[in-house]
Amino acid sequence: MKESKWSDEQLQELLSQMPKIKDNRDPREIYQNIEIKMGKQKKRTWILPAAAVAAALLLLFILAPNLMNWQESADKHVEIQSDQTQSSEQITSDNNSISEAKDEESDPEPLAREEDPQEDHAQLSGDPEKESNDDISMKSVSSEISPTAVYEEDLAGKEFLTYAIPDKEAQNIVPVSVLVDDDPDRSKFALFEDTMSKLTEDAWGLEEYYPLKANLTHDQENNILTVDVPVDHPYSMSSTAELLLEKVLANIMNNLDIEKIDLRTEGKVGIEFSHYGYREEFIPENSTGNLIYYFLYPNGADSTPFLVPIREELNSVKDALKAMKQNRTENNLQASIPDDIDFEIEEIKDSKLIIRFNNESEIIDNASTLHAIEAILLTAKDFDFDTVKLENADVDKIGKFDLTEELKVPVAANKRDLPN
Amino acid sequence: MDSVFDELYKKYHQDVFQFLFYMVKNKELAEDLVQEVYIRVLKSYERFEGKSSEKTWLFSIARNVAIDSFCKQKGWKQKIIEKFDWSTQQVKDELPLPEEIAVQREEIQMIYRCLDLCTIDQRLVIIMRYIHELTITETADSLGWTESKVKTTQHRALKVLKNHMEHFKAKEGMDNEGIKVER
Repeated sequence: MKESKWSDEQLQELLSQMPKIKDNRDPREIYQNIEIKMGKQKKRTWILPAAAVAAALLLLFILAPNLMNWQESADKHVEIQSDQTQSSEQITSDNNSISEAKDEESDPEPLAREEDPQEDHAQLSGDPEKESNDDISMKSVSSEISPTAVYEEDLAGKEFLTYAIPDKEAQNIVPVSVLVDDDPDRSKFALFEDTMSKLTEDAWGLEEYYPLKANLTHDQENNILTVDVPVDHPYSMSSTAELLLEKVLANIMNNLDIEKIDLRTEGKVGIEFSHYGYREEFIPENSTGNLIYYFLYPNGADSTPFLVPIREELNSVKDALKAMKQNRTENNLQASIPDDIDFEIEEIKDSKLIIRFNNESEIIDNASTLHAIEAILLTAKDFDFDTVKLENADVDKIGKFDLTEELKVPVAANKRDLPN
Repeated sequence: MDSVFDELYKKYHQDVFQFLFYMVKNKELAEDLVQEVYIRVLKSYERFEGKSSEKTWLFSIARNVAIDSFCKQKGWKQKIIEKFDWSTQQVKDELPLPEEIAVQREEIQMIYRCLDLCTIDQRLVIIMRYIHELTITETADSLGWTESKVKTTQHRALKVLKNHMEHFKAKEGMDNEGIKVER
């Protein structure tokens, strides 16, 4: 190759000869422009917030009565439901299967009927599709409290892909999993790359991050991933951007079992980062500790939360579950186990965890309890448990979970649907 | 006219304008941004404590203004362009050279174009250190960095410039005197 032709001094000399660029406007003109702008800005500083406050108050005024009514009726509904369960249990305590069937029939179906007259027809005529229809109606009724994670039974003929997506504040990395049709001709990496562009991060309340602004090539033989960025890539705009990329790459390695990542810039070895400097390959830091899960509500407190893992050094799963009762305000994360739920813990042969709720704890069939159970299952999974048994709850069923059985830990957190 | 404005204008206006111009490489935008600098300065002039010199203080504000404008550009323009038209990315380099640069010799034009290939931090340092001839201490002050960070960034920036200058040269050499390069 040719030898270096430019010395630092020559370059400096050249730079100092760069032409002077002058602003040819009259200072008066500039001052006038400034005055106009400052005047505008001053006004804006209070008008906008004031308008926002007024609008919010108005909205609150209109909505408050409705909200209160809605909550009351929801409470009533839950009470009635749990009453029914108890009474029917007392009556048919010797025959569990009947009482369960009764439960199912007594609440979800009347609602389903209101929703969909076709279902009604299917049930009345008792045709062979009844069972599958039943499933659908259950789902549609409990859509409000459907689980958020991916479970083994979701995987029939499907492959799950996990993407690490930063939230809007770039404070957390949220692992989001989507299900795609399994294709035996294609590697998991190929599916991963194809699906990248279909993610709707913005609609989920997360940062638009995929597809990555880089060419990805996967060397299956050596299990090496090559990340090739364009010269003007956005990943060294700030140290946060660099940190996020690092975390996302570490997640990709983990999820796709990749051993090494090579970094390139338009085909040339290495990426020049403005803060970390030059790097040729990516090696994730060795992480210790366990992942414990918290709630993130990017779309408001009424929406379905994301379950976001935080890595923490803890002695036992007991400490982990205790830690999950605390809000993590520094990360904008909410406690995933309500403070008023207390329990004792028993570990059996490493793979099974028993959680016995205290009598004061109110464990009822609603969305927040369901999500809390999922957070417990995910955390238990990270402590290498396979199943979790919940005992002494006030109900036998929460969402899809049958508490009389051992619950299998999920396959992955945060299942989200792709647009068709 | 405001006396503060008057004084600042006399002392630093062309410096600040030139700095902004080399950062954004667009005269109209630089004209807008220099006004933004004055607005921020006039709003916070009472808070200026004289800890740093007036000059580095102005430069630090100008730098923030420049970076904010990059973020704004990235915000909507880039996103839309990237989403809908991948081919436009290559067109970016073809921006016409401003008059002042176009009349200069070739090497100056080349280095001017190479500035685009530095990161924002590197470009800041190059412009402050070599075009405006600020000292390392003044640069560190304006950027709010340590002096050693200025030095390493400066070193890296020169390296980037050098590489790209050679790259350009090599390309031109091929066009003009292909045989010479072959040897």
